Amino acid sequence: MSKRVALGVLTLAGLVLAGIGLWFSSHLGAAGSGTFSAKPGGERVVVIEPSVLNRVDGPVTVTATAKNGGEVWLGRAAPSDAHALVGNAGQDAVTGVSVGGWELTTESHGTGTAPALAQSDVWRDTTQGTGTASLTVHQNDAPETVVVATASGKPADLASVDLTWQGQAWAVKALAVLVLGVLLAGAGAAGLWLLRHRETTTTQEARA
Amino acid sequence: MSPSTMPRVATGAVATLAALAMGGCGLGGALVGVHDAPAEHTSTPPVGAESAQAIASRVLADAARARAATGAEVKDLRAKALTGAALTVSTADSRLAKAGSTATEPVTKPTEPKVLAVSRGTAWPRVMLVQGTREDGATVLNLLTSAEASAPFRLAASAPMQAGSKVAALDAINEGSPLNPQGTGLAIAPKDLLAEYAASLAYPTPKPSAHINGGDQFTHAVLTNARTQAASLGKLATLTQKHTPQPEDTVVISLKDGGAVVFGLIERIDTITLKPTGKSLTPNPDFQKLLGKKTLTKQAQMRTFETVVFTVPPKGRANLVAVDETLVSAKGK
Repeated sequence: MSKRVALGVLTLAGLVLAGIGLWFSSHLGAAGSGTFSAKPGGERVVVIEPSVLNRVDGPVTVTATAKNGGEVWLGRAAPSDAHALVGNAGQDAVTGVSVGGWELTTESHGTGTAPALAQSDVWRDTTQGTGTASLTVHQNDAPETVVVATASGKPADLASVDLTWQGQAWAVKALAVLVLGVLLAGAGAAGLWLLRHRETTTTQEARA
Repeated sequence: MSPSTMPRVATGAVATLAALAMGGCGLGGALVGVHDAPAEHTSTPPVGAESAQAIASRVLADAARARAATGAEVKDLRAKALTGAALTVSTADSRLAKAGSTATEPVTKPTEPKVLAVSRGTAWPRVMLVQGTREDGATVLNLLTSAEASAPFRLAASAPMQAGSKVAALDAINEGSPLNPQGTGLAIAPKDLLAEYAASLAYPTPKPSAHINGGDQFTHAVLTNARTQAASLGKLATLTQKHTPQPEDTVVISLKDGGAVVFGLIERIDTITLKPTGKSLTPNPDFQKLLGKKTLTKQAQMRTFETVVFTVPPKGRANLVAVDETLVSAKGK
């Protein structure tokens, strides 16, 4: 009975792994590109923390899309500088990701308005645009914080903020998990079949 | 694989999967290359060499524009580009210009500034030492400061270098230069340095400095001018000159050899008091234009700002390497 349970669990685990591998492969694609999104609205500036930006060695691209082709500005700075500048202004801090829904997790805090962000000299890189703007964080200067707002410091009326990681190895690993799951499920199923076959043969021999 | 070994393999695989599951996200994260974000470095310069160069170019160009501007936008341009002593001096300069001063104001070329140093660390205020060139070819030392995160760098002080003077090597821009406001490890503390220098310029009783190399052109000129002016007043009036350091404007940037570059501001008050035998006196043209009077019958007082830059070694005497003076205000009766 215990052997049958073990083989059943192996089969189930294999199916789960295969499912996970398939799910990741379908999201990451052949290039291994993963995108997490948030829809922060337009009431607070968005502050993307190092706990999201600097957790892997590869670059991450931040893309902010404003509603109705509105103004959007992004700046990249050392975390302490970004926090000193934004201060206690109303902000949506992006602190993590939720793989289940491919979403960015945010925490809202602070009140009031930020100063004129674009005038400060704390920024290592800035970009702005109408409708959409994007900025890539390479990991050379980690840790870093990215602030999304308008150049004047007012919150941008955002439709979405997307963070995209590129990792070819992830696509390979997802495929490997898929293959491993299929192999384990296959092995478990084969074991169950052989066990059942042996038990049937033993029963027939006993009857004979 | 025989049917008898299959269950053992299956049991091992399940145990492995269970162990992986119990390992939790940490192991899963490691498998896909996720790690904790690194800690922030607090002992590096706040801006890189490229950014520092861009900031220096912008600030000196803005400062040149603010100094050259006339009309309604002048105040805004100055507030955007200048701060501290540079703002005070520029405002005084413009008053002289409005009054029709014959002195030509040196304008630093906004092109080709060279960033010599950027302060190390993430604290404020942050400073940059930038070398520029005046239109007359003189090398100028510029001090740029950012008081807080929301305040961009502005020109805080500027002074042309004395002929033959030089500044020893500073730390690389990418390493940053520590600020040393108390002057720890220097031959003389900045506060004492400025006080000593101020005393050495006093008239009529200058006090020789023990920690500063004498013989520089500026010191000689100030003392000589005072003596000449006093002599020309003769028995009609007396001249006194009092120099007072303004400690809040002192900035100390460490040099690579343990010494430091010290930027300081000294206020000079020239007081001319008529003796009973004197009936009136005629001050210099700038004074007349600031005051709107050609003659004085009792007393005249002129306020001048002297921007001084010293190099101070760990041991030995300090050197005055750059200096500038601007008449700020005048009053008389």
